[in-house]
Amino acid sequence: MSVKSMICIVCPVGCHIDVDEQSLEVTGNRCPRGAVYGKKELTDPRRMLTTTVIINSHLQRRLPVKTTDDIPKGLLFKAMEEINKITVKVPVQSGDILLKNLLNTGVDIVSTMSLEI
Amino acid sequence: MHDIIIIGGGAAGLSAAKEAYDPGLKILIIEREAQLGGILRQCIHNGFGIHKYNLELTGPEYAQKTHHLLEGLNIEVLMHSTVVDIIKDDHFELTIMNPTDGEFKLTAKAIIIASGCYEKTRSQILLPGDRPAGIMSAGNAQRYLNLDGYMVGKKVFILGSGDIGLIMARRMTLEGAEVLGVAELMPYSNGLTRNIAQCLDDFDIPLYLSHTITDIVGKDRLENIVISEVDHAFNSIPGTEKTFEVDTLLLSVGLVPDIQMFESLQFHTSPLPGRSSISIFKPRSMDALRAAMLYTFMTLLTGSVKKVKKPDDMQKCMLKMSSNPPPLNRWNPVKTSAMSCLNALIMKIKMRPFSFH
Ligand SMILES: Cc1cc2nc3c(=O)[nH]c(=O)nc-3n(C[C@H](O)[C@H](O)[C@H](O)COP(=O)(O)OP(=O)(O)OC[C@H]3O[C@@H](n4cnc5c(N)ncnc54)[C@H](O)[C@@H]3O)c2cc1C
Ligand code: SF4
Repeated sequence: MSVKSMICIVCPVGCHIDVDEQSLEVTGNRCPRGAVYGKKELTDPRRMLTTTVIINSHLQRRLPVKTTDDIPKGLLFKAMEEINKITVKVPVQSGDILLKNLLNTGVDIVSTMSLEI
Repeated sequence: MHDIIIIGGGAAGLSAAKEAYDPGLKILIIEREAQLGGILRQCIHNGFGIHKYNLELTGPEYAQKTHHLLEGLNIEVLMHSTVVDIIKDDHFELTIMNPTDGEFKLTAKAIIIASGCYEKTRSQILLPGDRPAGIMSAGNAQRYLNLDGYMVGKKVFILGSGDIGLIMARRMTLEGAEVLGVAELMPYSNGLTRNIAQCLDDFDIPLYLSHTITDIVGKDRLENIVISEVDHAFNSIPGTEKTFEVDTLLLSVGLVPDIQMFESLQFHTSPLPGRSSISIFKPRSMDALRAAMLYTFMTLLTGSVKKVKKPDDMQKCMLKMSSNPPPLNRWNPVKTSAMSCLNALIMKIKMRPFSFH
């Protein structure tokens, strides 16, 4: 029976958890979210992605954005390529959807800052 | 004359304004940038607000939420204005500069300095070697990248495993740079294990513990750096040198409260190295202003919203703190804000210094 050790990245506590590769049973997690994470990390590792896109604001040249949910870890660099094609015009509100269904993941890209000018 | 002037419109300044607010008080926030939110605006990653809002917010989202707490409150804000001097007489006299009015003065009965931190520089940690372009703090690189849209380099090494360095290792990698490694003087990282996992391990970026930079080579632009292992006394061990060909070195080696400008105030500073300078005063009695100030102070410090009414309560609370100073938790903006707010919470009331150590 082999066990995979990892760090739960769900919250800043950062528990060292062990996931049984067969039963997917998680130990060492201080809360239930760690069990969900451990299982997912073995079967379908995912990450949130935060980055920036071009904006025509007078205040700053980049607009911070994020994925509305985590996306498969293997898609991070491809996602960056897609997101880098986005350009945004002011005004924009935090939460505005800038790209729908990123790489068919069902996840959208939204602005995380409001800029009026 | 204002009752309270708050210097800095970052997380600390905004929270301080919210906590100090009282309809009877004339409060002004002075911010040198064109936007409120401070350093959070460039911290585009998520993980903020877990404790305060029970949400995973990015820095800009956290800043906006904090700003919204002030909606409807009669708090004045002066943007694009830098406080360049403070003189304490009977009251506080602030010298301010901005592009429209030039230099002018404002007075206040009390001030709260929430001017944030700056990152330690190369000369503060005595890095040896040449002085080419391409060496900067991780936070500067973060600002260039996330707000101004400039990549500062293509082949990067990072000194110091503080969280800003780890976050930037991931950020630069995602933007196409090659991050060759992170060196940390201590035998452990002082960043969150979560960030070691998701910022370094995810991208196979090596972390060299018990290592430091022993040489920097480059004429105009950085060409390479040499790292060496250190022993228990932090002396480099000959024969352990490794050379990395890089064009950029980012430093993530600690934060220092940005309060030099206010040295004329001569506050008491904390002996904790690299942490905050803290001045704490115990007022003799209370009035509305003092209560408001104290409330801010206590709330920011303890994170609790319990009103401290009696001087006794406060004294007890402070005694508790003095025997057990709160740790500087960089990943909780509320607490860090408290720390930077505490850097200098100065009350214009007759005060007796209260020792923190
Ligand atoms: C580069 C960097 C990255 C960081 N990343 C993180 C992170 O990812 N997570 C985390 O939890 N913590 C992080 N921190 C720690 C951060 O300091 C706190 O989290 C918190 O956001 C700081 O809030 P603040 O209001 O004290 O300071 P700041 O946000 O720095 O706000 C200070 C404000 O005061 C203004 N100001 C300064 N001097 C003057 C003056 N003389 N006149 C007028 N205005 C003035 C500045 O323009 C600024 O807006 C980081 C710190 C730095 C430096
Ligand atoms: S297991 Fe729970 S407490 Fe531990 S890091 Fe994960 S989310 Fe945080």
